[in-house]
Amino acid sequence: MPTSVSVKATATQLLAAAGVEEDHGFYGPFTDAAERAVLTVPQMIKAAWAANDAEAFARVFTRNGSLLMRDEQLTSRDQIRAHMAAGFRNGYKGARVTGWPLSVTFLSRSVAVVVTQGGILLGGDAELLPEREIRATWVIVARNGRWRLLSHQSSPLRGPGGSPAGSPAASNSEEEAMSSNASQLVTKAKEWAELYGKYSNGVEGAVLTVPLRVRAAWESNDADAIAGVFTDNGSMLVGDEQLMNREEIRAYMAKAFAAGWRGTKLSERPLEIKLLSDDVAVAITQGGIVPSGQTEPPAEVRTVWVTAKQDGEWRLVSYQTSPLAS
Amino acid sequence: MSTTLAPGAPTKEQLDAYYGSFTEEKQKEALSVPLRLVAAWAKNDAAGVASVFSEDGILILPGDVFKQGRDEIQSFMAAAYAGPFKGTGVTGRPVDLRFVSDDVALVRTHGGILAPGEKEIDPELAVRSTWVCVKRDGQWQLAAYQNSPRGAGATLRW
Repeated sequence: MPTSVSVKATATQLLAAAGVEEDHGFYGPFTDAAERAVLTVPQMIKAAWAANDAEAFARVFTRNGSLLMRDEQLTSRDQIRAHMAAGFRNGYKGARVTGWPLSVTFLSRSVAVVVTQGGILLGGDAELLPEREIRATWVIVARNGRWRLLSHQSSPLRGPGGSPAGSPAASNSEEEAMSSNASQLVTKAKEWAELYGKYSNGVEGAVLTVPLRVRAAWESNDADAIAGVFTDNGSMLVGDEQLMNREEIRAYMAKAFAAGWRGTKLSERPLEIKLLSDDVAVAITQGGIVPSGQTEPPAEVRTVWVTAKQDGEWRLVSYQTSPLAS
Repeated sequence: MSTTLAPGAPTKEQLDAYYGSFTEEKQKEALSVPLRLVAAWAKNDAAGVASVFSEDGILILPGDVFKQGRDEIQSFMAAAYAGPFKGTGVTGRPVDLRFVSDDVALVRTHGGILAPGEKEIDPELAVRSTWVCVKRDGQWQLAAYQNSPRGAGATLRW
């Protein structure tokens, strides 16, 4: 973060000048004066929503400000004002927004990027509905001693119906080979996302990529790819075999995939992730090897994955399983 | 209509088609950011994709994907390329480019993921992307990337 920013006014001063009541709880962990000043922008937007005031809403933007909301692409303050005015007369009548900051990053003394999470509560909603949850990126710039919104875009957290999986794709007509490829990709991406469980983001999400990569490689019975997830001196305890490096792991897995493990899948769900340091972590999962043609492992095991971050990427240092049943 | 860049270094014609109306040198420099990301994705190169981002870069995708910093991005992409993104490409064309300052540019593209073997964006995978690009030490980097579904048929969520 730059030691100084070009807007000198405090958050309190900026909000007072805009006639907006300061929400002291909004800032969360972002307590630095410059961060708070930048966060006046989402507070002003919130206030404009609460008042259903399209003019106040548009005034937060720069003249060439741009708003991407679902499928509406608005590229000037005038367009934004007109769109919101119409909205507040119709579908957005009585609506308000909720949100909280996830990150504040200064790109220079006069440009900041803020990420928030939240969403719109329509007139009748008692609380933020799962299908309305979004994450937004705000590009905020210094203009005439104040922070102003240059660009706002939001992405939904979930599919229609609020469930992470959402509903299957539209058309599956046999003639549309192209949409079928895309449909498969969409379905696979959704299933993949669910594998992260409650550890979607942050360092834990990054650590969890290690068992997920092994799972993906196992699904293709790809011994090279499995070995590739390990560090050079990674080790794997399999039954009575202690495999001490990548090459031994690769050779063992190649033989196994040609024999008893041919066509099997690895099915594991995360139980816990513990950071031991900035670049060492332990992930514990439960599940097991699913025999070819089946959907569940015959007996569950608990797996400990010791992982380490090397050159920016989390890798597998050690893999060991223990049966659950005695 | 989108421009798909064939694997390997793009030809001058392909680049000119990609740049469209953004022909000033400064604009092309900023557009090197999406071009480099597309090239890294074509090789399913997680480290390559991460290297386009700034050290504290941000990646937001529909669904519950919010990655902060090159390392989180690299691990996420490595897993995605082992899983559902294996063999995919990505394509897009710039629709808006504005300089916030000499060192910060806001690029918007229309594009999407290409399923393995596909050359055209399927409506289900169509997205609008915002690329917040920053120039550091003479190199343009991706400070924040976000996309959201474009069009009624777009269904991709994580």
